Amino acid sequence: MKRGTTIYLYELAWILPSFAIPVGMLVALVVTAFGAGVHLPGVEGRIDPRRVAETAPFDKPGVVEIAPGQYEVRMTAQIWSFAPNEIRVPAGSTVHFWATSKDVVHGLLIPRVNVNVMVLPGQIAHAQARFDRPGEYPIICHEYCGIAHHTMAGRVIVEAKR
Amino acid sequence: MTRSEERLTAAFVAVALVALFGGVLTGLLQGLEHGGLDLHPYTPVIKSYYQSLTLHGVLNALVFTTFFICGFVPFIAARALGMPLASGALAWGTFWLMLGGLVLAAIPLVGNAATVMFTFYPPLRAHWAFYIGLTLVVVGTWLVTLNLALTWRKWRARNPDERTPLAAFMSLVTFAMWTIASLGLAAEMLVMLIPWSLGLVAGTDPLLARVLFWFTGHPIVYFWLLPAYVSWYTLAPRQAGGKLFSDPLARTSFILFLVLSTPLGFHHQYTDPGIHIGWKLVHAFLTFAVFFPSLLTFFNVVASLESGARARGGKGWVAWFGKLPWGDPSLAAQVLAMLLFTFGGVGGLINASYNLNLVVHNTAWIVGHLHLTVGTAVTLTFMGVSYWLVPHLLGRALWSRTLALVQVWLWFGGMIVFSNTLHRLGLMGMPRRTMISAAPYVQADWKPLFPLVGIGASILFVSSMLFFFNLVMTWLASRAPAPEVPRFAEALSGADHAPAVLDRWRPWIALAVLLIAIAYGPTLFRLATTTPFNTPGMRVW
Repeated sequence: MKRGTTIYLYELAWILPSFAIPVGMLVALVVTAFGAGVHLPGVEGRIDPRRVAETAPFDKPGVVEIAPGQYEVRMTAQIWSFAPNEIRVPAGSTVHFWATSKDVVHGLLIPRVNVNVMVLPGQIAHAQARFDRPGEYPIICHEYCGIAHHTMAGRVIVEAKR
Repeated sequence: MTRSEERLTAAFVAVALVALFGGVLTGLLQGLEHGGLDLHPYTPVIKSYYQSLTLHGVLNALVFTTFFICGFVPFIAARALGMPLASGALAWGTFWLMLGGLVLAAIPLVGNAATVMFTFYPPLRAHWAFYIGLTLVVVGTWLVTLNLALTWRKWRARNPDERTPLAAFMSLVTFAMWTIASLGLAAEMLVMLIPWSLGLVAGTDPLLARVLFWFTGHPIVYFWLLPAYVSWYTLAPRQAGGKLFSDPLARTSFILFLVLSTPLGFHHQYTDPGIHIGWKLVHAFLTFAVFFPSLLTFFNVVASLESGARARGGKGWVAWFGKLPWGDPSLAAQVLAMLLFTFGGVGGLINASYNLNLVVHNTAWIVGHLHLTVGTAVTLTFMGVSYWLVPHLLGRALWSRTLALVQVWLWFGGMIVFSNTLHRLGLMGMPRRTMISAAPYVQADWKPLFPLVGIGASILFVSSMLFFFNLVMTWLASRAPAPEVPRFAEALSGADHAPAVLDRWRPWIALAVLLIAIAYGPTLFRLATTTPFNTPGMRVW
């Protein structure tokens, strides 16, 4: 870049916004992520993938109400199913998913409520979501896990409050 | 250019195009499957949708790209330096090593013993030949780097005071960046997957493998993209009848790619358990940082095209765009590739956004994104390059320019239909890599879009067949001599305006390594020292 030329000015007129745009987007990202309380999966601990069936809480997969309106799902993923594969909660519940895999890499996707987490053998995964609207939400395995991957699914049934 | 070097480039490009042919055949099958017509049961070799999908990814994203790049980039570098590669023997040895690796990996792939996708996440366990074969291909790319570096040193000894010609500089940066970035994949292969697939160790660890994979897995997209940029920066401006706007800005953005391409792989693992969210956020920041050289490239390349269009009588703020030489299929392909890449870049920012990623991760959105980036920015540019490179290598003019123009516009149109539909399906929650026609959870709002996936894929398939047909007819039926190879563009602001430090290698490579150590060091150290390697492998396909 040679100072004082027209090209130099054009370059500068582009470089400055090119710098400002990503910085502005980053600020927006941090504000919205942390302001809205978006949680990404972090370090939740390891588990021996060969002994999932004997390790609490995954020895008893299921749904537990831990507080009023707060549910915990202890879930195992294995070829080609989730356990439990049907979860019933009343509308307005917050559901914490704790999941691990007994065999290969799986994924846990619940569209519309932004549950999206990888379920790896050896790792405990956590995700949470609030289910406000009654209805049926599919639980989808979104990582290729073998020949019947597309059949691996479940559902969350959100019941209207009485 | 010696005759042997041209034959070497021809050999690499031939393998690349054969791979692309296999890749688009399988791609059509997957597109039709999403459209509701599953032909996989009627194919002779392919056992399942998932084997087909693995072939599609490996052939297109790994083989076509790598072989094309290893043919095209050294060709460009040697021309720019005005001297042959330092070692012809090394170059041919590299080709045969990579071809040997490819054949080794292809045997289990075709035999359904490596249906693990091109990301091969353990504990899915493929046949050992798959891992060793791919590793040999990677080793081959390192030998290309060595040959380019030796060639440059020879050139430097003869031209101690000159600036490295831009095209050669960019070629060297591409391979230097890739060589650093590929160390993650090499470690995954050599330390984890190969001993494990041979049965020398009992267990593996999916998380550590994924961290090492994505160490390489994100910068590999820059390894695909930078050679396309080489063409956009150094050839396309002249093909458009203009000059490169700024050589110093081009060098700056490439140096930034060298420094920033690797330390950001966690943005592929935002949803992985076992990685601290603080490090995920650091990688989000660095991913946004690499958007900066992308914006510099956007400006510089568009300004260069504009200079060409204005020289041809173009006027106005936007109207000049119509004055580009649209009748040249090589340039048309590249400009259309750039147009769609704009959307690919914006989508990439969404993927890299720490929070928005939760909406799109592992959905069909990602497939739509990848087809705009590697499937169009890279592939359509390489098709455009092929329209002068293949005629040059064969010594015959392109058989039909009209057919080539039809082809590139079909790719553009087909990709808009295909990619837009997949983006929308992804936002609705449709998973990627799934035989969706047999899934029990298909939602009512997905169904009306499925035919568009099949239609888009079919248009792309027709386009690719026209591409191959044109090249085969050039080989068999064209009689006219090949036109000259496009010459490198001159620059409005030349290399002498660039700071001298941009021509030095050590500080930039040191900075790249330092950033990688900061961004990856703590996590890799923690995983390497605490991981028990107790996950057994399995074949579940």
